[in-house]
Amino acid sequence: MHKILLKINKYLAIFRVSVRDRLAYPLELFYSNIFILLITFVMSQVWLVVYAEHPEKLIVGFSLSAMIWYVFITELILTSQPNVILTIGEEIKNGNVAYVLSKPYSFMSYYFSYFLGRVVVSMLIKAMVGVLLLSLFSPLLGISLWSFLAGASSVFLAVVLNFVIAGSVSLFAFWLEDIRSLRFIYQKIVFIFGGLLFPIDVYPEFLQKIIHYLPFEGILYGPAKTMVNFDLVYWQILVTRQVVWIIIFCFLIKIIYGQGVKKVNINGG
Amino acid sequence: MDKVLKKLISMVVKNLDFIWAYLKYNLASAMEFRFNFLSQAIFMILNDGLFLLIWYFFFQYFGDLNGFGFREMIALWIFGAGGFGLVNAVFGNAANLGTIISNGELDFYFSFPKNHLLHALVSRTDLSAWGDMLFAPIAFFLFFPANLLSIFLLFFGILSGAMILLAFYILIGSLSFWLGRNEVLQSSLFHAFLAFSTNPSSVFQGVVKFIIFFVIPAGFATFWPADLLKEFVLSKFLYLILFTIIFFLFSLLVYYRGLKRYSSGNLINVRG
Repeated sequence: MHKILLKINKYLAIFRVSVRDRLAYPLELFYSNIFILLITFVMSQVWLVVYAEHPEKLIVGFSLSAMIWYVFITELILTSQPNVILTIGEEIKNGNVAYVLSKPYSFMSYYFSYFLGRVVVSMLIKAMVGVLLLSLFSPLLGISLWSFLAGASSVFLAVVLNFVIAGSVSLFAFWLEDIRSLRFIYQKIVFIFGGLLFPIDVYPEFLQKIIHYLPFEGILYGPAKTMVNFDLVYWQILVTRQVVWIIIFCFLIKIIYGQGVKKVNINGG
Repeated sequence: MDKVLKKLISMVVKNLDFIWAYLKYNLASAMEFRFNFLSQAIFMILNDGLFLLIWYFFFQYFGDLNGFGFREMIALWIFGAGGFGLVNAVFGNAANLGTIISNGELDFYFSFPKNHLLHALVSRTDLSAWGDMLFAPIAFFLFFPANLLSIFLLFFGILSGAMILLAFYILIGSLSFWLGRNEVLQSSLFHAFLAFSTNPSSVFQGVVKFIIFFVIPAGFATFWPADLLKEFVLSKFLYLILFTIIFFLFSLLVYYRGLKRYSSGNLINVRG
């Protein structure tokens, strides 16, 4: 037990350093709100036209304000994520991974704690500014403490899921000359299959069926839908899927890292 | 007058030669990492196509937005992707201009006989932008009738859109002369340009419309070229030329005004 606590403390210390590091440039944090507010505004203009004739109607189960909040939450999750693939990929390419081998922490757990610190700060600040402004113009009705907590839990799992998928992709840097293409592809897959701009319920049925079997729904669509349109049954399915995918990708990380690290050559010191 | 004109033409030709030489050099160096280059370019074409496909689903589900349908969306993406691709493939450093200024890295370009701003802008290429550039003609020939006027408007729209975006890059990059490091602000402004230029134009009204045309001029970069492709109106065409020239000159004016505030970075830079 004592050993486990020591382990947790170690990664908590990394998390704290990362939080302080992220807070070091408050102006940058402030500017980072501009984009998310802007894209929410742009999409809200689209939804205002769609709902113009019957502002009270529900489309695929979403009210007008739920649609606007949906975009805000998907963008909030997406834009708060650090660049996992490029950062870890670069560490592998420039050989820094070799230094970690002699350190008393795991390479991937170190980066998880580090990124989590950055995500928490970034997300909280964007959420505070965004929620305040959005509530003024388009208040989200029908949100209870329980639905908020359920949504928050799936947002947290979404962050972890994104990290384990992006993290396993980044480990291909052990073999590839450049990891940027993979990052690019991953990013676009999340945009499209994650339902970044509008709920995937708008997609044709066959595509929705395919998307349900992929992990990306658990990164954007699932948490956003849970937050704005809570459904207990869907939330249970979502959280189960998120946890299963996280476990699968943790195994993948273990396998890929184990194979990749054999390729590291250490010359001198 | 004749002498001045000759000098001006010779300057333009020399600069075009310089841009062409750099473009060939950048392309050759990109081809050193062939897989990376080709995969990024091909995936960008797929990415643009997939985004359009998602909008296709949207319009299938909801129908037109104030007369703006899927066809209009394609036109917007042709000019959005084409202009963005052209600027970032040829002037790949435009997106980094602010960082170059705030890091004092302009010094490197001062030591060459060519115009330092042009040199800084062309000395890099964005690999994925080549995909965007190629996407524009592919989408055009797939969805629009090709005749002399429409092909001319395709190239004209991409060129004017690219000039407006390049001027916008120069303007937001020049902010670094006054603000120092401000990458996040610049990135936000650039993404605002991108968001406005690739979303349905018909949903913006009033003050927002004014901002889209005169503050973040995405409207001139994609909305008007797309409108012209749909229906050619001579006055709109001429106004677009006029705006592009004025906006480009304005960006240069701001840049050179800011340059007076530039502090050298005391940087020794060696490029391989």
